[in-house]
Amino acid sequence: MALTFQINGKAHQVDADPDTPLLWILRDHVGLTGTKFGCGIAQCGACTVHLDGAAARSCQVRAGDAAGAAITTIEGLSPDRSHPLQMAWIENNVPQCGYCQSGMIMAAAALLKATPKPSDEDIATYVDNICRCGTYNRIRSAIQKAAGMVA
Amino acid sequence: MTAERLLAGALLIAVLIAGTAASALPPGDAAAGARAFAACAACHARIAGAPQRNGPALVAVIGKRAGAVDPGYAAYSPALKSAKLTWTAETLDAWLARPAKFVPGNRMAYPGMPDPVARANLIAFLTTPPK
Repeated sequence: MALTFQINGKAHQVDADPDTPLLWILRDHVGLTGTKFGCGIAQCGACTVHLDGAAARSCQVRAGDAAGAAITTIEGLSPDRSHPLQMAWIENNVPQCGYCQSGMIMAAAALLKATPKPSDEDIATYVDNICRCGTYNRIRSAIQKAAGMVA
Repeated sequence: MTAERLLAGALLIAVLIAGTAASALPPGDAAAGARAFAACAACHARIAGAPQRNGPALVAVIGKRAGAVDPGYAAYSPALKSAKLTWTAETLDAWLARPAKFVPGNRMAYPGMPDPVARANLIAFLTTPPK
């Protein structure tokens, strides 16, 4: 079935079953492989993208349901790694294996848009992505740093 | 000032206060809420009698007791069933913001939505009957 998606500001037409998880539309059909598969059951957050600016776990979003929304992936956060979170991630040397960072940054970006100065409790609640390497302290400090970068 | 005028003035103030209190939550865009529901649909159906998913079907939520929205759903947590909670726009807003904090011990594996406008949109969608 022909489906059209608004991804990072551009329209993409794709031929796929509407029951396909959005994650596979992004990775396999459109070729945006920044969004990762971690668990497939919306528990780890590696697949986090934005639907109309809100964090959503794309492994459990049906493509047919997402066709009307504005989708943002990690590739669309900035053209040149200039988003405050991306800059803070680099400054604080956050990633170890790097696998969680796409989803982690997308979850944090959605939080910062809604709550520009989050508390540590806000971060723990809304950026509950899993980091297998355990670099949570640097993740939290990078999010706080990014929050401080915006006046 | 006549008694009539005082009464009219008091009524006007009461209506204004009631109106302000009712609009403490932002007005919701149900169409935007329908798009946001894409993230919820994996677990929540919007038609009664659909094959059971991880969460209860959400056909008509407003005015119902928490833990009783979908009588056919077998996996409500004891915490939610005993919460003595009725779903209104206000309680839904608090629930959707931080479910784990609003009803500790509930089973909805979802951190919440930090954006009050996004919550209002979703609530507007949930309030309109499904097609």
